[in-house]
Amino acid sequence: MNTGFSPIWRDACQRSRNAIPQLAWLKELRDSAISVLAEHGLPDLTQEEWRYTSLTDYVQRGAAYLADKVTAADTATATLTVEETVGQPHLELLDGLLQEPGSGARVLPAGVEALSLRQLSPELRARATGLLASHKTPDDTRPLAALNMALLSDGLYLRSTATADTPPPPLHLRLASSGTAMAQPRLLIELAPGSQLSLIIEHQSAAGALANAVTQIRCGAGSRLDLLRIQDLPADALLTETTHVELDRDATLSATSLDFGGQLVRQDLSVALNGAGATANINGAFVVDGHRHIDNHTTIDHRAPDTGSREMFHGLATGHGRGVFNGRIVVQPGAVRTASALNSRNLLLATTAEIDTKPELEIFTDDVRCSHGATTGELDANALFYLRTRGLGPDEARQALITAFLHATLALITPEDLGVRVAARLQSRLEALDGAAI
Amino acid sequence: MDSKLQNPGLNELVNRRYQHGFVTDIESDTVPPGHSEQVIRFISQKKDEPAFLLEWRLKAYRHWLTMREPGWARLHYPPIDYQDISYFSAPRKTPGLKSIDEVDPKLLATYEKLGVPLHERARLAGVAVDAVFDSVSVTTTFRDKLAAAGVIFCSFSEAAREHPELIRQYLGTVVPYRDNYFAALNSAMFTDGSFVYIPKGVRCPMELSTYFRINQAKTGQFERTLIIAEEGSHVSYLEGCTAPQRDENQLHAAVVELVALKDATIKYSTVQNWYPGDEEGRGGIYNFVTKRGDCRGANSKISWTQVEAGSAITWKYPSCILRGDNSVGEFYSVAVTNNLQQADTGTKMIHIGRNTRSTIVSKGIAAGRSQSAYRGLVKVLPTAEGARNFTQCDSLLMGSRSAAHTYPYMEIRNPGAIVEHEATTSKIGDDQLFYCRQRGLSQEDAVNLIVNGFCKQVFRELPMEFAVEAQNLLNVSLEGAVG
Repeated sequence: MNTGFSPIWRDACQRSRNAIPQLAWLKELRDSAISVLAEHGLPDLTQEEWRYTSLTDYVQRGAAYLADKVTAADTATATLTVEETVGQPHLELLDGLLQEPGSGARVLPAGVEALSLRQLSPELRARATGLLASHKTPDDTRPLAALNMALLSDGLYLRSTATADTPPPPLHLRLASSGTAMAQPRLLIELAPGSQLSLIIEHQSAAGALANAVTQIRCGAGSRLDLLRIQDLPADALLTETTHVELDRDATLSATSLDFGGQLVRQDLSVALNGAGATANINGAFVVDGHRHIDNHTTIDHRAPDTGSREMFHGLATGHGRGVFNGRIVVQPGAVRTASALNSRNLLLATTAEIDTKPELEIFTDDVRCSHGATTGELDANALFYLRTRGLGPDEARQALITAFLHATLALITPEDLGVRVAARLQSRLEALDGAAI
Repeated sequence: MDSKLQNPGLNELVNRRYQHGFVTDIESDTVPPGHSEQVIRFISQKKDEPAFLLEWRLKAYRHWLTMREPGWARLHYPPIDYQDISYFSAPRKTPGLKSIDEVDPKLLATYEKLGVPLHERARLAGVAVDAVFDSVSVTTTFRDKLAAAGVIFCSFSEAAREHPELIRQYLGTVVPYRDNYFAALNSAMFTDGSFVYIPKGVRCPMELSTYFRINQAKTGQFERTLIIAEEGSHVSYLEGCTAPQRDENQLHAAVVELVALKDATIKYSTVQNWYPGDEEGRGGIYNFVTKRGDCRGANSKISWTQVEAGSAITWKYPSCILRGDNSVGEFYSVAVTNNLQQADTGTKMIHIGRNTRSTIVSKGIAAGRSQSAYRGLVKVLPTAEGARNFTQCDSLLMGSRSAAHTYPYMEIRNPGAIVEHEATTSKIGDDQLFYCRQRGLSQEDAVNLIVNGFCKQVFRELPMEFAVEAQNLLNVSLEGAVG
């Protein structure tokens, strides 16, 4: 079976194999990725993991890019919405290529080094290869991660050894797509034992752009990663994203994922709690209006004793939007005294919109405390009535409840001022929703 | 925990044998293994079926040949060789029976061993029984009394001959032959099953019951049950199943269709106790079943209650299509797995009509090295104004090598719907056990008490005789499996 993996994709993968001499060290990984694609093809609706999300448009547009059929005219009106980050630590990958700073040296938090995959020393290549191969799943069986490996032309290797007592300033990573090629951004991130890193990953793109990002992160023993992922892409942009995080003993991940834009966005986030005492807190929110389709698939894999996780996703669907959430908690044999809670809360505001939610538990040991819950419904009539009695108009009252619903997600974001900035952005996004639609 | 299992008394209980694992030595007509259009024509001819039914079977068979076996369930088993199964087996002396006294005494002894209340016991219990042995319905009791009330309760083959208009009108309208791989196979190959028709306004005077038994080696059982409840009627139907102990795996692929018209109620209860295989996972029944009820009329109600204790593999999702306004769907389930059993079971509630309500209560208990999965879909279509669902699924793990999984699917397209899902996974609390022990209960009694409490919500939905049987079954399957 190799659905969708037509000759145009195969040829592109073969061409890219040897296209960049500085990436010749990836040859073996690329070959195995190509064989995964040949065997599994690209995902389609017949696969359980893809039952709610069709990649038909995505595969067609990708093929058009590969055939060079997208002309400049198609993207001439597109502009990137780059937020001002002058003076702040930031990095940018444009169509997957790490950009050199405009002038002077890169601004990075203390103790953080960042290199293009093309510039790695042999020693760092060995480390990067370890990281690329550390997680069997993406390149072995996930066709989209394999596609990224087969087609990538650069990537970022980031390593933090910062052990300061005070939290480091956040590093802003922009993954931008110009709309002139199918972007394949690849991020490799390592946190040394005991180190800290605060990271903002922001997707930006021109109208109609197509990106397929893969991020692999390893958090050393006792390290702490604060991760904010945010996308507010143009209404016709397509994005697929595969992220895998591994946590060693006592490491902590605190992640927030926000989806406000795009035409079709699919995120696969997997977290492996490999060391005893590791914890993961994951919050997410998405807004689907217009004809937007957002699909979040998450897996938290408890592989060691005394690990903990909490996950909460809030979704808002209106217009003809469709929101999908599939959260999976796995507790492996021997992962005793695991505590895990998974929640999916959804607001559905139109009969033309749809929410599909699936909170899964897979438990292989008996000494655990796991729970999950899911709710889908409209705004609480009693709460609306209460706000009306306090003098708010019907639209104001609805806005207030919707805002409160989604703002619960932002509580995890550190530092606080970043949370405030994101909240302001969310607010403007909600105000932009069609009044009739909500 | 494992050290506590060393307790010899507990071990004895855990390793208690399957009690229905005998084979009855009866001469039977069995077609050679393998599927083909000829086999289907043979079955149809043997049953003297009307032509439309044969046509339907053949359409189903041709469609089945184009399908692939589904792989989404969390089940692991070697590929099934569908050419190695015999699709028809019938006890030789069945045709032309005038009364129950003519039934082969060995067969009756079998049912006696199974505890099927065929004779006096039936009268005492007030239960009408249709017993299906391998592929053929052997006997149906209490027919006169039911006929007086206008109720038709007979084998499917008989219904196909005597009430073809009802079969033609309803067969395949709830589970079309294209529905899924196993339903298509059943539609092509089904050999018998039960048929129930409750006329308008009739409350069925007694509980109806069917016992299914696989006896022959290398046979599959493909029974088909169709229950039609006309406007304002009411019926309670019970189903039980057993099979002999064998080293091979046998296939059971049944289809059950329920149709409830306006104001009708159907209550369908199952105690499934097919042979589960031995401690090493050798043998056991592969149970792939499609059960679906259609609440066609307003205010209709379909209630599924199941206790799943047997089978090496269970793949079963009794569902309700809530089409009529104010219709109600219920699903109460206890699924118990031990040793190397695997169960992937749950339900589907499709809300189409206004103010439709559904309740799902699922209790999974996994012991030994078994795997128990709940998989349930709640779908609310835009037309289902005011739909309401409540789902609770709890898993109880016994022993550190068992596994419990929960896969709830919620597809919501109406904002007015309220859909709630709750789930927990836990083991029996040490504090609960300690409390019971210090009140003087033995370890086994304490576990029993707690497990029965865990399942109480489901057991109280079962008719009384079944509730007792279910409780006993649970004790046999599990008692002492946790320390």
